[in-house]
Amino acid sequence: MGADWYYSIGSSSEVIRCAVRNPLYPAIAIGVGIVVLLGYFLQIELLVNVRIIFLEWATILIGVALLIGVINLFIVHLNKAISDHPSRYNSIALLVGLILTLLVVGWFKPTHAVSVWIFKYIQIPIESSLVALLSIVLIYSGVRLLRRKPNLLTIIFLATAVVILLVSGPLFGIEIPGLAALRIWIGKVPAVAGARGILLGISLGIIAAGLRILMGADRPYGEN
Amino acid sequence: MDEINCPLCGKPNPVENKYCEYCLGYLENEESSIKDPEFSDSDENQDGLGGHSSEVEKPEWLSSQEGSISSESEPAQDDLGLALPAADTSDWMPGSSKEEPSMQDEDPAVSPFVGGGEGTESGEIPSWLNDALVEESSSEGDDIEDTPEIPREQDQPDEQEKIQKTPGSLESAGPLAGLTGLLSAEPGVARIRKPGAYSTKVRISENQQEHVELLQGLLEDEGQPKPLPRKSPISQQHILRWGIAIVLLLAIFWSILLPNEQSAFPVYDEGSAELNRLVNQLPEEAKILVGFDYEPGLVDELDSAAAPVFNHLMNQGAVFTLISTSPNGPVLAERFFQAGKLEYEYISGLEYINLGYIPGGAAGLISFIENPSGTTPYSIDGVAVWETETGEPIPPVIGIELISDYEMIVLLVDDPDLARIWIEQLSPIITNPQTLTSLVLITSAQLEPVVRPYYESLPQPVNGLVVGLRGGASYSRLIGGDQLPGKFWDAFGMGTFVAALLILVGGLGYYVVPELSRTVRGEEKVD
Amino acid sequence: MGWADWIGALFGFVLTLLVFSYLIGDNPLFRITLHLFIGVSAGFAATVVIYNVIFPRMFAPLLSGQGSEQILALVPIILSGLLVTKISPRFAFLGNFPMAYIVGVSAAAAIGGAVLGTLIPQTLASMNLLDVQAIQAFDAQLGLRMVNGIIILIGTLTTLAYFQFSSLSNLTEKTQLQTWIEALGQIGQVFVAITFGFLFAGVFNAALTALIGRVVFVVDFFKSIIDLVI
Repeated sequence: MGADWYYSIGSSSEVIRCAVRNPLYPAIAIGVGIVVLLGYFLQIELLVNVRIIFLEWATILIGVALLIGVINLFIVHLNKAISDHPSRYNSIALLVGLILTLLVVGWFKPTHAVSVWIFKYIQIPIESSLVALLSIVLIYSGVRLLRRKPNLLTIIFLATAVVILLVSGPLFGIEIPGLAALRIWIGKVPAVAGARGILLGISLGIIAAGLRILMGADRPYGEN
Repeated sequence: MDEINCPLCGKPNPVENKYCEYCLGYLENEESSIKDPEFSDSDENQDGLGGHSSEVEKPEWLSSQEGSISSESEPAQDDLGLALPAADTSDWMPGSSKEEPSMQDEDPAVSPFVGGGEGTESGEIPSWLNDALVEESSSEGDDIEDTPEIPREQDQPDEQEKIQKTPGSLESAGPLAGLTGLLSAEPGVARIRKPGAYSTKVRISENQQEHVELLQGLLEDEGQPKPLPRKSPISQQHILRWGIAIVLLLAIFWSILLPNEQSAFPVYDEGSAELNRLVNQLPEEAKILVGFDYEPGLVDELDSAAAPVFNHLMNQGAVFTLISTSPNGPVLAERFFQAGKLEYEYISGLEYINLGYIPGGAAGLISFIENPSGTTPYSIDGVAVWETETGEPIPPVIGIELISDYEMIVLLVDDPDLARIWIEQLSPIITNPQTLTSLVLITSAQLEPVVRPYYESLPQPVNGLVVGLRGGASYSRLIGGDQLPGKFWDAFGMGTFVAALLILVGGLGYYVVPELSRTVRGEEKVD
Repeated sequence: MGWADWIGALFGFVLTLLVFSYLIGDNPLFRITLHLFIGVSAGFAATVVIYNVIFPRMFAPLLSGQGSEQILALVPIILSGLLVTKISPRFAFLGNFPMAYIVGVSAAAAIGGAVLGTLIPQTLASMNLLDVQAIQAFDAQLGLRMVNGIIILIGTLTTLAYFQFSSLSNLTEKTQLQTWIEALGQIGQVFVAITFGFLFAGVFNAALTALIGRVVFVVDFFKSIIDLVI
């Protein structure tokens, strides 16, 4: 079951190889996709049952795909760790974390106190600290935004951000008249308008991309 | 029969022949040709057949040639590389080694080119020939003078050429060899001469030479690698970043360490108020489905926002079913219920059940919505949830067959795409007038613009909204007590104020100071 | 605080400092911490998948299920086996079959959600902005709601116009429609700028809360040390 079939044109001295795409893959994608999509609109018992089975298989396969991703990560960093790669110590750290976690959490199960301890004192501190660094970076980028000559949109952007920031917290108990109402109005009217337009655009894009896959125009499943 | 040797090819011909039978050279009695060196009859010379001027005096070069020919049998070459007549022709030359008795007897071997009489033995060039050569050299000299690139000394015509070019001279080379009275070709075309040497030096002025040297220097510099300028380890950006970090951290430390009266929580937040109303309307032991779909990095914010809500729900006696569409979700959920952040301690399997991770995003959600028991038959701990040993499901999921059987769905989320997927897949159920299930979101502050369009729309797929620390603080005020947000609220206010101030002051400074300095510099220039 | 929590707090404190060392500059210790985090995270994900998906949903039905359940359980096992070949470059083509399956299901789920969950409801919501009956049922302030509704409607349409990217078929001349759309897009930029400013503030608030959480953690850690010493 190869990805491509080839056929030759011309004499033996001049062979032109033309790739004929395997029609089996798009047939599977389209067939399964149509069954799942129709289930949104039609409530036929057979269709619903088949849809449920297809969805269950898909969730299992996606879980296996995640596991394969972890295995691949392990292999890549193992090769780096045993070679003379300059970042092999980083790979060693990754492998130590991965193997220890697999062993401990695998033995005690994910919701055991020991597993939660690893999660609480290793994963959460690192990830929280990374997010905390973002606050400094955001102020830094906001300060530098006015470095170049600002235009109207830059000023609107910064003004909105500053108003929301000022009203988000208690502001030492000071109530600036109108600022809270302005913040509420910004959140309910212009921000909603912009976000709704963006959401509609996203949904149209998703529909277009999905239909291309279900029509066989796009084939992102590893076919060359 | 008497024979005469051809002066050119040297082959014997009958005496009475005028022209050689072999080369058609003009045959002449040697004696008469030698004895009459002054013979320069142009007619006879120009008939094209007779060629040789036997009346011409024997020039010096010819005498020398005779010597060489007599000693060597090979044909000699003149200065131009032209082969002289072969050794056979040496018969007519005086002193020739080749014996031709008849000729020699009759006549001493004297070249028809040379004339008898005065001057021949001594090798002197006859006067007429000398004049002709001088004329020609002067004309050639003119040519040379006209073309300054040609050095005159290199282009002296050979004597043989001079002989050839004088009127009546014998043609010695080419197909017309031996003929006399031929018209000479254009000197520049017929005469073979060495190509002139041209100077390769470019004639340029001094100014141009300077420019050339300058350009050459530039091009040479281009090829040479220049050392990179040493980068300062501490730049302006570093200082700015450190300054911001120090100011922000000092403000937060000051708020946390120094005892201050806690600031009041926000008075009213519409989303929190609506959620509060919905929770108050829940029946006793309501079945609540909780989705834990946020990253560990935002535990502080989501815990602060969700703790008051869950305390309220627990106060109402609600039981929870926990699921997640991200791999970290089950552990986060377990940590949330066990970490002591809530006022009540719930027991797993009795008051809440952790169904774990559902892969697949939207596909997994649809699968759970349509078939909860088939999608998650076991909990994260491996406990059969929907059918225990007694045949009954565990308490948190008693009576649950479809997702619409839950009274409320609470979603803790920090990612806009995940929030959108949950809302999209649940929207048909939530907006269905026949279902009483409500969907409420407890989100990070970064999600507010994305989820608010759903909350603000009619029909409403999102019925309640608690956003970030502010939403949690507002909810805390509604149910009473400071709860978890109290720990962060003052520091949060200080942090947001400092951030706004830094952006305003720093940004204006970045913009105004360069503008001012530009203006000052411009005024200085005008002055 | 028990000894386990104390040791854990020490770990957390050291790791927090290592991550914050990035403020001084990128350094090897920060990178090692980052890679450690990736390893732990991947380990948790793999374990959860094994306990939550592989055992209970693949092997349990095969071992303890009845006839049709066992047959149905074979299909994901076979497909998973084919998917594993994706690791090998030589046999990766065998994994295209389950990949096509996954892509088809995911695309259909995404389309259905986008149509029924966002496109239709949000379009209806935009239309209902000026529905007097709906507004009156929801809020008594009709006039203000109408004005706000008009602004939201204009903002939604102009934002959509702003995100229209299309090439001109005739490079020398724009059509009138294209000119109109560009003009509307200019107005939409204002609404987009407001939305992104709101988002910027929201992201900062979330990050600030995380920073406060880390500072509280560090302060609590030092307090526990002081308590231990005293």
